[in-house]
Amino acid sequence: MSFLDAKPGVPLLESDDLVRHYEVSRGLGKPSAMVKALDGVSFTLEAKKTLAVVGESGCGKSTLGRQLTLIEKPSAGQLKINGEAVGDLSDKEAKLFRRTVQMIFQNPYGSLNPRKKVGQILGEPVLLNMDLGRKEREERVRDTMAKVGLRPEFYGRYPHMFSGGQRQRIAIARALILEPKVIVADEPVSALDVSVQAQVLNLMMDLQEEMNVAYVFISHDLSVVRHIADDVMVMYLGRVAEKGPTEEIFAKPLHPYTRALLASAPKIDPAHRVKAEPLTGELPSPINPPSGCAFHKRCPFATDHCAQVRPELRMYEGREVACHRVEEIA
Amino acid sequence: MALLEVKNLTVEFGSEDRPFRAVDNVSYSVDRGEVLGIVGESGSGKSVSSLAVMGLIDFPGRVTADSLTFDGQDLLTMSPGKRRAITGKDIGMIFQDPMSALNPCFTVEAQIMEALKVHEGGSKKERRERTLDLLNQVGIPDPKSRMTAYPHQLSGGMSQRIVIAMAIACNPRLLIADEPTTALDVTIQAQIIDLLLKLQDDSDMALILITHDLALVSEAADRIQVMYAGQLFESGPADSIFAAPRHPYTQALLEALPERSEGHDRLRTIPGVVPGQYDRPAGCLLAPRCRYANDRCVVERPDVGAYNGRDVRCFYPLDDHGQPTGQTTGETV
Repeated sequence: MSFLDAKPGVPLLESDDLVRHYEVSRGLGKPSAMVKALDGVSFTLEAKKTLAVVGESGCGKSTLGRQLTLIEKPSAGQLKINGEAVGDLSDKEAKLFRRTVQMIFQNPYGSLNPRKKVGQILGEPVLLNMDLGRKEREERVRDTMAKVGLRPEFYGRYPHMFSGGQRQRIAIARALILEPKVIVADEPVSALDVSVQAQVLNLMMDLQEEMNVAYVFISHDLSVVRHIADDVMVMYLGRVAEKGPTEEIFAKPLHPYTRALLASAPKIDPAHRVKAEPLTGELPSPINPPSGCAFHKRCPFATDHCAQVRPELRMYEGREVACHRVEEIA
Repeated sequence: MALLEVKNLTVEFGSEDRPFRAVDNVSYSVDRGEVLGIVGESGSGKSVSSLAVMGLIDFPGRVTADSLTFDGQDLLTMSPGKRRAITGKDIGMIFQDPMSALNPCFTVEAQIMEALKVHEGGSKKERRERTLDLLNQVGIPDPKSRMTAYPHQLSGGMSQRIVIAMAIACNPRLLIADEPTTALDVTIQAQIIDLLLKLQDDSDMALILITHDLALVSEAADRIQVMYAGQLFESGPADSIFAAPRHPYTQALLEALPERSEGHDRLRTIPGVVPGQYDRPAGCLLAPRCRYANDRCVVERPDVGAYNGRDVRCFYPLDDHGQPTGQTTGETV
């Protein structure tokens, strides 16, 4: 069980050059193609911190979430928890790992089994992973329900009796009940209304303080990310475009793609509006990504060099940026 | 006279004696060349009210209104045939999910040409040329090859452009866009909104933009209307409504946005949820969630009244400091 204990100086969760390729069939007689959904992503996550993963659909942010929770095995690269490589774990240890990394899904209307009562939904992970009697199990479920603000009488109700915000609370309770160290939240508030979204975000922040859990927060909503995250990782076509502390990235985005993302998001206050070239075109197909920098076809600053040589992540002003021309642009 | 004029529109579902009012006495008007933004949370009746204008509410839904006129003609009293000639031609509509708004069994070309055939006629060759024009107009790269594509071969942004092409095929004078960008990424959203505003500007078309995104309407619309639980809560010009909200709900919605809580640890929330069919409060629909509500709000339901150049449904509209001290007049703006 040693890998579950925190070691000083070692990050809680570390992803080292994580790669996930999918083989897709292109029809009879044609060779199958490779989709590079995740193409070398590295990051570290400390306890009680929030890392936001941002990008357009198809950039690999959900694929990353699936690797982190071991729903799928990465094609290459390593995932480490407390410095211990997850790939080397025995089945028994892998089961323990899954307990420590839990997930909240995007759509609370799809992620809860409509035929089970709230008590059963929350009790199931306990039943599978912990050696508790019926009484103790129910007690644990009720404790967790109280923690996320669900009233005790909800124990015997079905998911269809709840609103979207309440359902997302149930989903959060299910992720929390095993006392995980990391929660991967895949767009947890994007299906919710503004007023309810604020309630759920506050709850997530309160729980983080109370239970010392770290979040990997996958989202496309930049204003939410700005509020909740300590670090931001901007992804484009399976690779990291820019990574750094939230405040710095929002104050001065370096990568042209980060800038375009910030400029595209509408703002209420005219003073907050960011002026930049709007992006033209769409995310290219990951089956057939552009040569060189994957972003060069949509980038207003692209040169011939960008079209030929792929930029690697490098440090610039205390941040990691994958752009050849960052010195000139910044 | 306004292009579209809606007076006291009500849409009810369910039994006659205990009906559920999805839209409750909503009035508004849109002029030529104007962009009206309708915002609200889910369940606020923003989509249902526009479906009612389009005549897309089927039995057992009941649509009533004092008047529902388009360009001087009353849509409610005219024959169904005549109304069909207007909807789809003079009033176009764009739906939220472009993937399900297109028929997966037909090519792009066939679907746009069908709209043209119904309303404009003309030979097949003319219709095909017009379709190509439209695809160019909505910014589809390489339109010739996209003509024969099926919807599953297109991305979300592309599909939405096709849907827009279909909606503007007959040069509508009013375009209703119901959450046109909710299913799309921010970068694509910006492109689609720019396209809609450009089309609107070029042809002096009126545009109703329905969305839950406050920031989006504040950037795109001329006038904004805030809806809650089927009722109109506040309406006014876009540049001032979010700078100085007069209704406590508008104020609370804005405060719940993460960008308004910069530097704070926690977001400000609106407690509770939008009332549903069976838990409607007797008084003001917001009363259980409103931080300023008093005894009067709990028992009495406020009407829409004018205050500082806005229409507000509140007994105590907010002053310039955001305090509930104002008083509406009986008339509306």
